[in-house]
Amino acid sequence: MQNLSSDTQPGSSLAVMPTKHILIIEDNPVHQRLMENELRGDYELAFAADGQTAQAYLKDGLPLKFDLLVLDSLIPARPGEQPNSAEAIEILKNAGAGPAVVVVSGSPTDDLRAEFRRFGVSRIFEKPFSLTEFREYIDALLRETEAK
Amino acid sequence: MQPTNLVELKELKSLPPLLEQVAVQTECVIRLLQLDGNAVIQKVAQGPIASQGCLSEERCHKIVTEWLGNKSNDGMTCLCGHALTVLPIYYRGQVNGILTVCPTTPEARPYLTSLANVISNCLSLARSSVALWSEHSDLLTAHKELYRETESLTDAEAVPEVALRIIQKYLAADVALYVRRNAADTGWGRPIVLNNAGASEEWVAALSRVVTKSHEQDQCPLIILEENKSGYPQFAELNLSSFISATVSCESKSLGRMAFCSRGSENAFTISDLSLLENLVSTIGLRIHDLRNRKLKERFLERAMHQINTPAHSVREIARVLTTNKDLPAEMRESWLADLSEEAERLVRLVQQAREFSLFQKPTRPRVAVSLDRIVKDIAGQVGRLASQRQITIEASVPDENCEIVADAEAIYAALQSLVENALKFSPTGAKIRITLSEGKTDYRVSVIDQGPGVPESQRAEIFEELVSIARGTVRESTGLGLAIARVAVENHAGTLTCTDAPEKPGACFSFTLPRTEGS
Repeated sequence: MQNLSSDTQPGSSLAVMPTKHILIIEDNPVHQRLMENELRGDYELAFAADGQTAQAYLKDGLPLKFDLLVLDSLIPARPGEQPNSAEAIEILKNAGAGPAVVVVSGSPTDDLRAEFRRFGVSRIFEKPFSLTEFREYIDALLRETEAK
Repeated sequence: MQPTNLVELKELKSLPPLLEQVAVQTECVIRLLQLDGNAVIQKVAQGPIASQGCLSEERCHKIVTEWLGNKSNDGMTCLCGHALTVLPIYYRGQVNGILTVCPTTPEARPYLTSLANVISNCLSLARSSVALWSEHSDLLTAHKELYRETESLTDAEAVPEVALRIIQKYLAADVALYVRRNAADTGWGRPIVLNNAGASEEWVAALSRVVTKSHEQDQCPLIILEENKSGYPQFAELNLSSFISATVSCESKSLGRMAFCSRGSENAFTISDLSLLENLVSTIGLRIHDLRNRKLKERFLERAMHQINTPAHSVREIARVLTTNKDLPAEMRESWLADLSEEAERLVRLVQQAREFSLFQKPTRPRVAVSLDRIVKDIAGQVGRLASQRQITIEASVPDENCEIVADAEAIYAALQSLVENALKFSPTGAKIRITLSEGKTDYRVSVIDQGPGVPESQRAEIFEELVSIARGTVRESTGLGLAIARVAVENHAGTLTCTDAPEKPGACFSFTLPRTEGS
């Protein structure tokens, strides 16, 4: 687990109550850094590089609630394991209906797209994608959920 | 279709009218050539669509010559661009003729394979079986339905159940049953039963035993109860009169046994029904094979796209960060540039390795006498320079005598280089990597032993698959092609590549064997 922009740990509460919390589940450190560069300042970010860490963040009963999950479609279950889409689906199952979900993927097959849609994923960004467009989409999505 | 003229078939030259009919119905271009040994002696027939030129005279002869040379359809295409199938027709164990077929509809291929088998049988076997086969005018329709109904399946293992329903309909069977073999070949799974007419669990279990027994003995595919009543008390409960069964196989591996039962002696199955079943069951195997391959291709494509798009995304977006943030602090700029360089390097490496991976799979690459001890020393020297920058020592030990084999030198170099680079990647600073070459009675063994974190046993099977990259320790994922290159290079020389724990833990030991060349 890497936490680049706050001292958030699974199970702890945030020191400063931000407007919106985003959990970025991405195993590539360069992509983590690019997303952090794009989103930091306006959102409170937490990072998970594997399913185990992500699940710890998403456990029921934690004071920390995420407004948005950014999920890589291929993610290892535990550190050091082969990234796979089954783990991404597992995370979605456990995330429930709470946070909005945006998927980033280098390789979404038609079946996988359909599976993500079934779990209510708002949008699938296919790598390589524009982070500016990604940022604009997230801003709009979170504004929309706020209005509801 | 009603190929009644098959009944009269005693020699190839009586086939043309039938083939014309088949060509029209299957929408294929078909030619039949009779052979004398390896020479074409007579053009016996050609499909009516041949005038399109897709199987021109010259092309056809070239294809037959090629096929006779390597007995493979790989890479053969007709002039219209379709993959071309060459189907041998045997007579008394020898290739007597060849059907060259351009299947413009995919479902026709297994049907035509069956047709070639039937023609072979017609020439070699008793006339009666031929006549019975030809009674089934539904064969092609059933094939087409089987293809259509299984086309959208994502799970290849669901094919037998779909097929069971279709075949049951075409055979008008009263009870249909499929028993799957367990994956680990440890026995049989629960049967799938259609139309069991309220039969008890015990009865289904008893019928399953008959089905599995028919598989194990492989000698009673057709049972007529009138003739053999006392032997099958299981059939009495539902007043079944006959039973046919066939094994579903894929790539020579038996997957399960399919069986159908009929009631009443007037509806008893005939050998013709058995022929229909066997034809369709062979198509089930082909369909499972196709769907499994499709899944593998999708998985490969998924991994390939992931491996390419990941660094491509980084390169594009880091470039954007650098160009849109002119006032970045120098330290941060340097850090982004380092990431950019690393990701660009990964893209280049991926392209180079993809080329090697594709190249070293080709069995036709030139083979020359290569000295394995020379290769070990060369690689140790090359990688040693890189290793010394990280205070990693490379030790090479080879036998005193020359260890020579006939091989694709470039592939063997690449295999060992991949293994040593892999060891280097996972070795901590100050560690030692040992490369050893030893000779056994029948093969040479090359081992690369590192002091890295090792490879968990659960990951050892998939680590050699192409585009699989498993992070170990603190090392980031790689292109996923290095170890796959080593595997294809070694396997292309009839060798094996394995991964075990290093003799002294922690660490991994990657070893490959290569058969000794005769006389070495």
